[in-house]
Amino acid sequence: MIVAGVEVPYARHPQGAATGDLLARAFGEALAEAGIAHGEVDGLGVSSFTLGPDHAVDLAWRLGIAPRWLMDDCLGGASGIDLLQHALRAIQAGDASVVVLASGDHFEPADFTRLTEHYNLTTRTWLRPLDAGVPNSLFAMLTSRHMRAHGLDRADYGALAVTQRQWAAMNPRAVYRSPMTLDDYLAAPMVSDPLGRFDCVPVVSGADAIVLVAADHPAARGRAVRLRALRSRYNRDHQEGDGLVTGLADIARPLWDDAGLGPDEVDLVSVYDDYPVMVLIQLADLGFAADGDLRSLVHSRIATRALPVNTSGGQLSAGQAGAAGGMHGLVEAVTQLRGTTGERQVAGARIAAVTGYGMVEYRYGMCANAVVLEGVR
Amino acid sequence: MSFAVFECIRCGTRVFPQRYYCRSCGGGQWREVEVAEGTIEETTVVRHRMGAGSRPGALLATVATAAGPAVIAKLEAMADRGQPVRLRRDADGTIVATP
Repeated sequence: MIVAGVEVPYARHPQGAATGDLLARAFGEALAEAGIAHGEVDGLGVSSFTLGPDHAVDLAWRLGIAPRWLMDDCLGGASGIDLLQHALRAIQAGDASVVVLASGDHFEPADFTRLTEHYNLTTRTWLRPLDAGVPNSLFAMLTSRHMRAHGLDRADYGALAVTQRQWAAMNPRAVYRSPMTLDDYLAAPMVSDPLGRFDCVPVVSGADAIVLVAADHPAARGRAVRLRALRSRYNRDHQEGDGLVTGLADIARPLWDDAGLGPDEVDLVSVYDDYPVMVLIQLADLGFAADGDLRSLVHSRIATRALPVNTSGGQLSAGQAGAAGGMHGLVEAVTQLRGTTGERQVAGARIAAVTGYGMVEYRYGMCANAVVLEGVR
Repeated sequence: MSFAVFECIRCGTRVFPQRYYCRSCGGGQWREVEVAEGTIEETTVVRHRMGAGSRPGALLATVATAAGPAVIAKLEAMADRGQPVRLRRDADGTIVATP
């Protein structure tokens, strides 16, 4: 059971806070929210691009805990659900009983450039010499391909960004909250055709954390969130496809079978939104557009909030704090299911789906995972 | 410098970049296959990028090589989808496509 989900407020240009500081703050706030004592923590999972040279065990030492279960995660946008998958099994197996999962990054501009240019060996060897602004330019070409495949134009992707900004206006912690119209979106400077500024996540610093306990732990008697299903698929097509399908397409059927429900029974979705195009691809992979009509999905369901998607404003408006981006949607879903999001609360929210996506090897992301969550009172 | 993709000696599967083992047959030995031509699948104009050393207006393309695998290449002049290009690899590793 997940009994807490917190986010250290994201900041565009923070001063002074190191990555470890942000993770420690998220750790402390998560325990406080769960009402769990520091000494009870016997499991820790960490994901970060900038914690180095430290790792999870160094953070455990700084946090003053002696865990029985420890995990370093390197899956970026899929890290939150990856950590959750392993932590869940650890608790089921008795390896740990109270696990804190924390993700976060603090970026100086040079840190981010270094990260994108040396993301992996393939990037360093074959993409960096092109000096062409990866990954934005890769997802620009992917978006062009998606536009042609589905007959969409910039305004369709823009409607997603505008809708997420409307959600962000109700999230005091979102970095970008000022109203944005479709005209604002279309008039923004181009980054890499056909992507404009509002198609690309703003890089921020911040951290997220969740607390996971065994079902018989006293903390699980309050507002808790149960995992109904979790599935992962990595490197589905060896980077030899077109990037318009993710591993979610392979896991959708067993995911919904495990959960005992379908996409039409979901009250809200957190989709990993590094770019608007990926929101549509992942939703389609999970079966949220059974008729294949993505324009209708955008304008009739997402923009009208009939299907609440990325209710925090998503990374497009709340910001992408490095590896924390892989936990951001999870924290939002947990907060919604615990009924504590305030103004943007989805009334009666009981079932949420959350996706993770990322780790671009050469042309598009290799990682995909998803979880179906249920709020229990 | 000519550009090359990698072919599995056991089953002939061609990949780029190189892998340790073949996704099709599990073979672990490869030979280089030079490929000088390809077709443009997708292009973009990079107008803004973070950090120093930006090249405003840089052209980038996804190119389907004549050997099979798709590569990401610097495009020397704007060209349309479906247009043929010549491929080369510069000394620093840059893959260049020339319409």
